[in-house]
Amino acid sequence: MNTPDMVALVLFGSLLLFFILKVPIGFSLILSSAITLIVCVDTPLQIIPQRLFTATDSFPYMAVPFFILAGNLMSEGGISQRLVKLANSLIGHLSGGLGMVSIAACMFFAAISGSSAATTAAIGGIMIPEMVQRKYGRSFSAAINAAGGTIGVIIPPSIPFVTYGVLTGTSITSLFIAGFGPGILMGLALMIVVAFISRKKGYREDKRAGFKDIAISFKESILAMLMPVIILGGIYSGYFTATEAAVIAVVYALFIGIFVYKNLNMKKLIKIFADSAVSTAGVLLLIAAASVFGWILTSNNIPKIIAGGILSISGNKVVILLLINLLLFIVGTFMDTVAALIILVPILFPIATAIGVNAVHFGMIICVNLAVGMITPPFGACLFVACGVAKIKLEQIVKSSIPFIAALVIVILLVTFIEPISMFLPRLLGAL
Amino acid sequence: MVQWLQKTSDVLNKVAVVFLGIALAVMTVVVFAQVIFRMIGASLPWSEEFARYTMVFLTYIGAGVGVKYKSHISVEAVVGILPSKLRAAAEVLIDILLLAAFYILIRYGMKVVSITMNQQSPAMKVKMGYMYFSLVLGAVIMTVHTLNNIVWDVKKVLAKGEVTE
Repeated sequence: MNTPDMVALVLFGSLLLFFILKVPIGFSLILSSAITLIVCVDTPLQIIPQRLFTATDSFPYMAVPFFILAGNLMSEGGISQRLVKLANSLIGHLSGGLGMVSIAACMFFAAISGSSAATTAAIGGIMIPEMVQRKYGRSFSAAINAAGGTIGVIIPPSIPFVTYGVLTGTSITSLFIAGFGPGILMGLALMIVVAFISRKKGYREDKRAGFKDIAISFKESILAMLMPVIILGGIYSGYFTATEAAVIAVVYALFIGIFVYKNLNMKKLIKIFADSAVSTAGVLLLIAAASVFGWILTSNNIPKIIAGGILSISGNKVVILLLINLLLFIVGTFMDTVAALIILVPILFPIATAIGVNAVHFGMIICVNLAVGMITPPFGACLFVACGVAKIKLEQIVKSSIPFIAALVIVILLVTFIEPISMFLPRLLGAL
Repeated sequence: MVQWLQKTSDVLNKVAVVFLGIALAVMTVVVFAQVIFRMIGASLPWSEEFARYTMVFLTYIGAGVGVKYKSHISVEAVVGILPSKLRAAAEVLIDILLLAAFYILIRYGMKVVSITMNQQSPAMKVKMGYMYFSLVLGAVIMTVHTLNNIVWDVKKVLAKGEVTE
């Protein structure tokens, strides 16, 4: 009863069953781990609370609550409006003006937020109503902001990068620095799609902002734009760990939200802290539950066996990377990013190592692919947020999202097969 | 009984939310202090450990809020297309499965608590059993919320006609 095949069958079979029933992912992982331990493995169930505790008793993972909190403080503190204004003065005059502005503003916001749903909420919350008013069409406006939001986890900081870094022992600093290339590429790809569709549909642009307007909006948002410099500069120089940089981001966001932009009061602060704590608990519960699941996988050698199986299909690096991308894409359509990461990384990482893909580069491949999963139905965190803001149904946004998904799939392939997109910057800065 | 359950669940949740906000604020202050102290050449031996244990409590107490409002992430592929009656029945089944998970956490969590009661944490010298108790406490709170949810979910199954969310 305790051959690896049997363990894998019970573990994944029961997990699938719980998923279908719609049991929350975290508890599904705990339940199928418990069933597997009872049926197949001779390990006492105490291992479950022990692993759960150990997984959350982690200083690197503390970057998660602090980045969530910093992002929420920034968006409630009035930073989103300023970033939108900056983007508007820079590129509002291009074809598809407001669509372009949405993408650029998402890229800016991504540099202070580690979450894609938060990016869609912060920028889409402002841009979608504005675009609807200017007759861009509800579903198109929602689709643009959902797609732009996916960049949130690729341009650092990034909660998935932190998760991947802890899971694989890869330097979070290197991952953060590597994220810029793929993130900017995603932004450019989405802008091309916006320009193309807008030209076809005749969405008009604003008039070009004068140098003075650009200077003013720069001045207003410069304090927010400094935040990523502080975070990355601090980590890169080796002065802070990622977690400490995240807490400095929190203090910085508090400072400018309260004293400079004066948008935060006590009532708002209490709500932001409580909400951020609840979001944190959701993410960390997933991470903890997956660590129990992952422990059973590894202690029964299952990742090695799966890796061997995949490597026996083909030894060709290109074929294997395509297969991995296909798997990630399918899983990404119906699963949350962090949950998918913690289940798949232990399985896929040995394969990547075996075919000689750099750990940082592989992190980019996985995270970009799963980020795109946030705008692929049926489960797409960014789609849900954008639909909520635009007050439309999921079916309505799906059709408008297709060109954006297509563009991002091309980005996935470029990131997968052109290593320097990810690795150029870390190599240049010697951060490997 | 039903009213008592509702009230207990609501009160527990209110207390939990206040605790969560304070816990995150305390973590922020402590880790920030850790950075500042290191900059001036001193170091706080207890800060990292304190922040970590606070985060453990935050996780398992905070998970209860998600259970109460059923806001934990799940896979939305199949149940969504079921007719509303069946969907309500599935909700009851989920509640029962959750109770099973909490039972495991409470029963085996208590075992770990009693084993670790005579271990001390490296920096603060607190009994590790108290730290592991965060899991048990969280699971007890989640049990109360889920028992309360079951009452409502069963009512939906028994209700005549279509159920509106």
